[in-house]
Amino acid sequence: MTKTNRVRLSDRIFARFRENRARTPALAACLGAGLMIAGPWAALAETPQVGGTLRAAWVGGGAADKLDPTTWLTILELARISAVFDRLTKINENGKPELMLAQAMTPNADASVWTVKLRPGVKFHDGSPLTARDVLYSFKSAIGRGYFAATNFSMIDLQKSRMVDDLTIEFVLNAPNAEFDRVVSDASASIIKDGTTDFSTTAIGTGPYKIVNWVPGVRTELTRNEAYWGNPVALDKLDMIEIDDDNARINALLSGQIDLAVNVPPYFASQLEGAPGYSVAYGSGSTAPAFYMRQDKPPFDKAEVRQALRLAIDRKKCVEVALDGRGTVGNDLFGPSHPSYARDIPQREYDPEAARKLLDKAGIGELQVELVTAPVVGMLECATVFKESAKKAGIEISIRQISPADLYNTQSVYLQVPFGTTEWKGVSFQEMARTGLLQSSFANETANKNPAFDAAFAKAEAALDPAARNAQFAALQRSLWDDGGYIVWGIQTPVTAFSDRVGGYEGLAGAEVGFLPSGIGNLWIKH
Amino acid sequence: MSLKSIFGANTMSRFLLMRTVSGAGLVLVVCLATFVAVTLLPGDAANFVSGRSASPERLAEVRERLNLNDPVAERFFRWGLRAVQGDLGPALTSPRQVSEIIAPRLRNSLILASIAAALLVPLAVATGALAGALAGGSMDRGLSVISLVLLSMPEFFLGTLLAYWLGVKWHLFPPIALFDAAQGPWSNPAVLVLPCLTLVITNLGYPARIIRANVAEAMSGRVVLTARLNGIPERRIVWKYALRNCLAPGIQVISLTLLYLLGGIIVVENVFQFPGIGTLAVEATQQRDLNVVLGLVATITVIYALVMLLTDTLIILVTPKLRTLRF
Amino acid sequence: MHLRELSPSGIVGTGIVLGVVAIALFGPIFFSGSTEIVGRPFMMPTPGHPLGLDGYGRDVLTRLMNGGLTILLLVTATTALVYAVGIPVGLFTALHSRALSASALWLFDCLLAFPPLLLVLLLAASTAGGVTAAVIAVAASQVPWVTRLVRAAASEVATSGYVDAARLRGESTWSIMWRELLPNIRATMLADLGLRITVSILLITSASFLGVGLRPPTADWGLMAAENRNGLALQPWAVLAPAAMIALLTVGVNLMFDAWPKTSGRRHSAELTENVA
Repeated sequence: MTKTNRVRLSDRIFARFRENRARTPALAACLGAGLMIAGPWAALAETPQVGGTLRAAWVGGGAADKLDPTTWLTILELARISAVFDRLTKINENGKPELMLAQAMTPNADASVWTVKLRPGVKFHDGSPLTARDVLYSFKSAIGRGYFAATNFSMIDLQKSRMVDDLTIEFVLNAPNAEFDRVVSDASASIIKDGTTDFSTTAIGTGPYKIVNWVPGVRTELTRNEAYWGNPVALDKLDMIEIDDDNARINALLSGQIDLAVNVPPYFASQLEGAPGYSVAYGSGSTAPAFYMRQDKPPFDKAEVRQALRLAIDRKKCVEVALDGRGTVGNDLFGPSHPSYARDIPQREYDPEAARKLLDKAGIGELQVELVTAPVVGMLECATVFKESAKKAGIEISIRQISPADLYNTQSVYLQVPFGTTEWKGVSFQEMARTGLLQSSFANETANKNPAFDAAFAKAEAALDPAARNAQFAALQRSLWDDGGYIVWGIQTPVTAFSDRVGGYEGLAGAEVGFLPSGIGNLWIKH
Repeated sequence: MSLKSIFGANTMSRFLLMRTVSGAGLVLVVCLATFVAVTLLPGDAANFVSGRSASPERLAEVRERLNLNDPVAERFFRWGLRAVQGDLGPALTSPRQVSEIIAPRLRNSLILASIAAALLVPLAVATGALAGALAGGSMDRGLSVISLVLLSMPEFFLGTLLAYWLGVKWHLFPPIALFDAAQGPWSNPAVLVLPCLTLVITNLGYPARIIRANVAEAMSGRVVLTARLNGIPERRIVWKYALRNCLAPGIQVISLTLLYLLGGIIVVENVFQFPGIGTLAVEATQQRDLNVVLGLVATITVIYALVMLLTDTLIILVTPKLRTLRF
Repeated sequence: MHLRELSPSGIVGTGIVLGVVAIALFGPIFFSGSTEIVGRPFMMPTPGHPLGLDGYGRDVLTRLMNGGLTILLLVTATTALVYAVGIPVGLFTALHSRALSASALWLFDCLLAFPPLLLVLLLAASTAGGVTAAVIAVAASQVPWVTRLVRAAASEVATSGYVDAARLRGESTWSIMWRELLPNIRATMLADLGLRITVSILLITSASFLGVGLRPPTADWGLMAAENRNGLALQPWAVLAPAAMIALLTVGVNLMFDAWPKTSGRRHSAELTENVA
């Protein structure tokens, strides 16, 4: 950064600010279409340079941080899982499954048995070869450990599934599932070594990076896996650093202490666009920040309360304020960029009068609730807007602010508080439902315990015709929209900021389709 | 055999013994109070460990593992016995031991606090003595306004300003203390600059003001007047008479400042994300890891007791009339 | 005490404090209502919003005018709590230097082992937290100092003749405490008050910064300065304006109370404060 640039930074910030206001509609049009990169230096295509260390900052989970790929709760853990482990498939930028460790995945006629051929010659970080035994063990142990896997893979009949030969597995399912190749793209389906039970100090996978050193809640040092089955990564070393505080993360980037920062608050994007030496990348915009109401806890056990709260939030203002206009309003549903999204359901609008009537009808009158949230990208800001807009409906929301590290702490907050904050990254409705809406789902944030819903979902999954399947999914989304426990107020465009030394970040920032960032192996650094 | 025959009539040893006993008592009482406060919480540690929706069997199992079924007194006794050996028990929210978590953080904080103190003490004495020797002059008034403004600034505000101007804007020092807690700040000493600067600036005002008051008082005393009348140079008067006279209150003020530093470090560490006991205290509070909180309280109380003991000893050593006093 | 007895710095200090208190008290009347979101986060000042917008898109000036009352109330509550405990205990122990007093003082001293903010955190961890816990913890960390000070000042008075005379008249301990001792240590207490208020302001503000004090979206100078830190580069007024109010308040309080002992003609009280605090 030259001296003149520094002096004029404030002017540039201001100019950029105005410019961005004008550009917002164009930005909104780009949503779902993939990645948008700002800054004059960003779009140059260059050949990756090999070597160097890249330091990247994520928001993490503090001392409760884990290496086990089935027990993840934060995006730092997800990013690390995708760096260290591979799955049989991954969801690509177009929302379609793409083969990773599997060389082929073929269903039988009614999609109740899937035969998986593994890629030959794949090696774990310790040099041992990948076999069908490891794959079967991975699923078995994932299901056994609970968390997301217990429901996400509940369709697998572990008794009947078997190893055909060293590189072939036959998955027998309890019920037909036409999307099994999507199911196994989940982070919990990361392939671990046969017999692994301990993740307390390190983790061994087949992924592009190997763990050198891991300090929970502080940093993970990774190095290139030379024996990677795909193209080995360019970086000698990748330091994944946990910085939960937004201000600290940005300061670290601007002072050159790190090269990349994820989850940049939207209002910072304009500052960074104006600053020479930095680029900002906007993800594909299917991250859904939301509030959840637990339907088993009063007053949220009353459908009218949930409906009233959904009407009492000024979504447009939330997007304006919390996302700095970089996003679109949400319709209490997940996965707008996926084919299964129920596009016919009308957009819910802010209607405090209707909300008040609903509460009167239920005989509640004045409603007082406590909303638990944390200062991460727009959540606290939106909660503040919510508090303000709900007043007009006679609802008094008190906000309890906790630390970002605590948001997904199952011991104190997550799945405990009646009215909380969450965020679902890029998943489709069916992936989200499996993880969070079935009776047995681990992340059943809204305490959705509805046998009829479960049965209808199982039926939909078995439908072989995609159109019929999506129609059934749409009906389920309608019921979620009507009286579920979610308030999905916005669809966010995740902002990732980089120093100009970083190359190959397009994949990392853009691949917010599915939970896992898939482009982490493409990063490189100029040196 | 009486205590007196062990320690003889040496008042100094007796004094130290009494102070040590009283310090140990203090540590005991503070730990007991914290232990009880933490134990009497609605929903015991088992709830925190296993989550509120945990099954009764799981709760019972965790309770068994953490020995929560035993009487409080017995548990405190056992905790105390192990704590004396440096074992503070398991953390609630991570699979590690509390002492394992605290040790590197404590070392980092002590490094930060020691450097800050090493800068702060001479600076406070120098400015305080200067202002006191020139009491009433324009230099004195200027310094007093500056110290007042510094006193009035919340640490997080000054820290944020310094991080932005010196760190982000001018690229002089790292605005965030990024280093591995286990390796310690020496792996990248530059990260210490801004936290130290913030601590020194915000903590300077108070001790400087008090030293100023003491020096000004001594300067207007009879001894100094006599010295002046005898034509002893002013510089010598300040050093030999005025400063020596306020050595004892000075030491007291400085020890107090060190203890304030221990408090100020909590905010400053959080501004700069410095992996010390201050950030740990906030993390543990937010995660309700009561074992870590308890461990921190115990550690800090021991430090407090040691600083107090050292202060009292120093004061006795530098004050002739106290040296021969019987306690 | 008359205004003309004050030193010039005392007058300046009193003026500043009166000004800040006036803003805190009357600001909400003149700038009522629109603490609502009116635009994009961290918008620079415009004619309609002379101090710009904060991180939530709210008008900084309006919030500034509404943000003084909480800190004044909290500081008043904290200080009242400190003296409500510190004065009776200090007076009592000055009159009765027996084992009971000694152990009470020793127990109070145990509180000093906690850095004040650790006490705030501890109380927040073991209760639901919130601003009540912060006020109690901040008060608890100040009580030992006030008790020591009151005791030191009162002991000096207690050795003088008229306390003995009161005893001989058969007055109760209670009446001696309030009628003989308290009026005579007033100057000492006033000299100390400035420091207590400053410390309370800074501690409560810091507690809000650490997330264990006031909760957003309360309009409060300390909280405003803390929560808008992120936007220092974008819209500095959102941080600087509330921080300046806090600084003005503390500087004013210090100047004001520093000037008092000089005019009250009891020089030793200042020394006492400084040696005991």
